[in-house]
Amino acid sequence: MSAAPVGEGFGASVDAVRAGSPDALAALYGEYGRALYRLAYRLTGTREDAEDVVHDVFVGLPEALGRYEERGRFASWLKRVTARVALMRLRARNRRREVALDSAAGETEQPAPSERDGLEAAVNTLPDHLRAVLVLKEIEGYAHAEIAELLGISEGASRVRLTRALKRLRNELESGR
Amino acid sequence: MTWQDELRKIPAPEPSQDLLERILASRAAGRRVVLRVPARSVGSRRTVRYTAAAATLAGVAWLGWTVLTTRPGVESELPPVWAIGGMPFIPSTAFGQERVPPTRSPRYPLIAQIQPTRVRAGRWTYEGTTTADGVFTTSQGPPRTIVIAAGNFEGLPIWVASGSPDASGSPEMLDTVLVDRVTLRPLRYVRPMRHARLVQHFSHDSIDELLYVEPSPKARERTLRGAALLPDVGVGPMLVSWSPHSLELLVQALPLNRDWRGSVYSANWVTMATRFPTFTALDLRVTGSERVTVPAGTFDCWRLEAREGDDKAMLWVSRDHGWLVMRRHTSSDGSGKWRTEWVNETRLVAVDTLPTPPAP
Repeated sequence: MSAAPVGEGFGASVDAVRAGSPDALAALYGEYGRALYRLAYRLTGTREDAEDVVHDVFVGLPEALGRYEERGRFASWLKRVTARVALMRLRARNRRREVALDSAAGETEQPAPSERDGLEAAVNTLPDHLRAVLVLKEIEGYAHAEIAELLGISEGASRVRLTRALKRLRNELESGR
Repeated sequence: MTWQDELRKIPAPEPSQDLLERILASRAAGRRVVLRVPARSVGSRRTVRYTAAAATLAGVAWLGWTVLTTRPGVESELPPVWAIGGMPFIPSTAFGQERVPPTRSPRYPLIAQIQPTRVRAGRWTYEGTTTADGVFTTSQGPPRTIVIAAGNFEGLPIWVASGSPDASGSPEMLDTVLVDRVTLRPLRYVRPMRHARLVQHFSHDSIDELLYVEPSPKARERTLRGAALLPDVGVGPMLVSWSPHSLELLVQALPLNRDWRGSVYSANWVTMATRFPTFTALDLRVTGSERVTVPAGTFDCWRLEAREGDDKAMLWVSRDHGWLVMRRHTSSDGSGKWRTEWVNETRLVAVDTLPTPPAP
């Protein structure tokens, strides 16, 4: 079954996903799985979290499609759903990390920066709240108003976070040379 | 090349080969995830507000028309929101005009300690009366029997709690709730109604609901779907508001004593969330002990106060077996000299315990 009509319209394949068809869900995954995984990876910074995010998105998709309003591009809608799940996971991870820091001082889930190279390493040194804004604005092309709505912050806070993220990125790259 | 281009060229790994397989396996196993769906765009919010205001006005007009033209019996298909009402009582005619009660936080710590091995299989028969202003007492109809039996569901040992058909032939009492025998959390709930059927699927963190409405001469059949995250993602017990059986089952497992208190969430309708809170907290507190005589005999009981929002009821639970012996729910209608106080009371008429399989 092809998921092609889903791209810009709202085809029979999405109706089939909504009805719970595993074949249609697999076709939709084939169409969008990699792009959504990339977005989740950029937001969470780890493969495990990114896979969990994509897993949860596709497991919940048939029911969530019942609330899809068929306005705008389906791909954009799907990306926003994925971004929300990834951001929720980031928040949960931060809470877990706080607990871990309380019980085992200094342990974090992030690999050491020295293991990574160049721009990617610099991006991954950013704290989650700054990296999220950087990824959503500079890579995914969201407007500050949309980022504010996704993150539950003001537009002004989104702009400030982007400025701080870029400044830290520049410092990181300069100090690494 | 721009700064953004550089960022976009950062390589990202490929997802695992088996990710799709795991997704499909999770779906097949019945796992569900409730996703937060994006709201409409920021620019359209003002339009949404105007539309909502217009819809509210239209809704008020429709509600007024509906209440004025309600036929007798139609309101009996409205859900009885309160678990403490126990046997479904018929809401007042003006029920639809009442303000939706807000979801409130539990007053006491959520019940975490239970003794599930105390639950027994059997049949419990209750009779009910309604008294208005302490003067007029009427029967709530023929006695109703609750049956609790052991079973298996998807490999899990469960309790099946259901109502037995009564003499009136009303389908409302034929509902069934499947409850995990270890945690006493609901797994499935099915309620047939005169013109509809409600099915709720519970997973560890969410509830999925289907409400099938039969076609009427003037309308097509409809299936409404809803999903909601559970307020407590844990292993503690939970009630089903619509089920008159889940409370009877839970109280058998409560380790009651003079100072005991605890709260438990009760799941209502998801597809009616605009009219009723999807979840309410039922707050239970032991207020004393009493010897109570009902048609089934005389029992030494713990007296519990049960509160759900502003609603209150008293429960009498036998100290030896944890059977719900009597329940009294007080409510009122109107105001001033037109105020009427209603007392719904259900009393245990007979108990017939059945062989109970060993605890899992």
